[in-house]
Amino acid sequence: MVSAAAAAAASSLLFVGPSASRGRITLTVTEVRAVPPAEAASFAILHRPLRSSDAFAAVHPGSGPVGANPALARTVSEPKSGLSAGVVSVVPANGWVCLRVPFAKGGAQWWCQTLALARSGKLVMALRPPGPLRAGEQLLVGLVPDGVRAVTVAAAGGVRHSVPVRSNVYDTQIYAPHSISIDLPGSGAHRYAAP
Amino acid sequence: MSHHLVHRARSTRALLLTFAIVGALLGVLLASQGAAGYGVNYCAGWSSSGSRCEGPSHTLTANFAYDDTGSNAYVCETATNSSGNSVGGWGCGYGYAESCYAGNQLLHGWVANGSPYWLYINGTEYYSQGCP
Repeated sequence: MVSAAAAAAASSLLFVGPSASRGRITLTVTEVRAVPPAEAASFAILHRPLRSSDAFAAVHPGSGPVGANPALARTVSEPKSGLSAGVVSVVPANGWVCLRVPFAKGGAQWWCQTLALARSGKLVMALRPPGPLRAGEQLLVGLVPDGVRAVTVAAAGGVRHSVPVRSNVYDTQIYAPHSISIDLPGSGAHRYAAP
Repeated sequence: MSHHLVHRARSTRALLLTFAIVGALLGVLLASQGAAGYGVNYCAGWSSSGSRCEGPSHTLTANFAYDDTGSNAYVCETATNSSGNSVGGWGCGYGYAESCYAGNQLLHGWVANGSPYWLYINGTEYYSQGCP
């Protein structure tokens, strides 16, 4: 109860609300103007020259989360599905790396992770069908560092699916995933709970 | 023995308090980026695994869900229009989730607990500005 109260108090004190425009605290993270070298060193996709196909139609102009610069995004094509429009953008940010996936029916999902965690393969997000959250088809989208050629997704019913990595990105639609295994160069196998 | 238990309970409570505050601050950091404009907090509270909560109606440009316990647990968010149809399905991530919307129709934001645990979840709807 104490933590609940503290969380509520902290949120109400620090965060926005209907009248929060009067006292909103904005923590500004400066938008990056170039791909940070440490990010380019870990993810070759961010090192390659920009292509015309990298540009995405922003839902609104401006910076992405945590200083992400949409103009520096590198975009890869993935299969279209009922959940995604079929592209994944890797967007460098200020000490963070972001993924952006446009929904099939408009809008876009962003998810970012610190560079350190992204290097360890923890930049993974999921798109799930509308309605109640339950075991079902999910679109897993993740970023892995250079040298990882495939990840293994384990799912319900003992299914194990090897998903190829292209340009540091993997993307797979799978029923009720429960773990993702990644063999990271230099640090061996890692297994994470799937979304 | 009872003194030991009291001390231990206090330590656990302090740890949870720390998680909650760190989580709240992280939520502020993440949710205040890329979506400047007016925001409305909603559905702040404890949430059981798989449960979801609907926010108020606005011309949303962004919707956030974040885990205020700071445990980096899996949370999801989506938005539905006035007919109850979802715009894009659920987006889920560890610790927080964020989606951008066109801002050209009234939408309700939703948050959901995608983790196997109880979480203290917060939602924030943004409108008027931001979110590429």
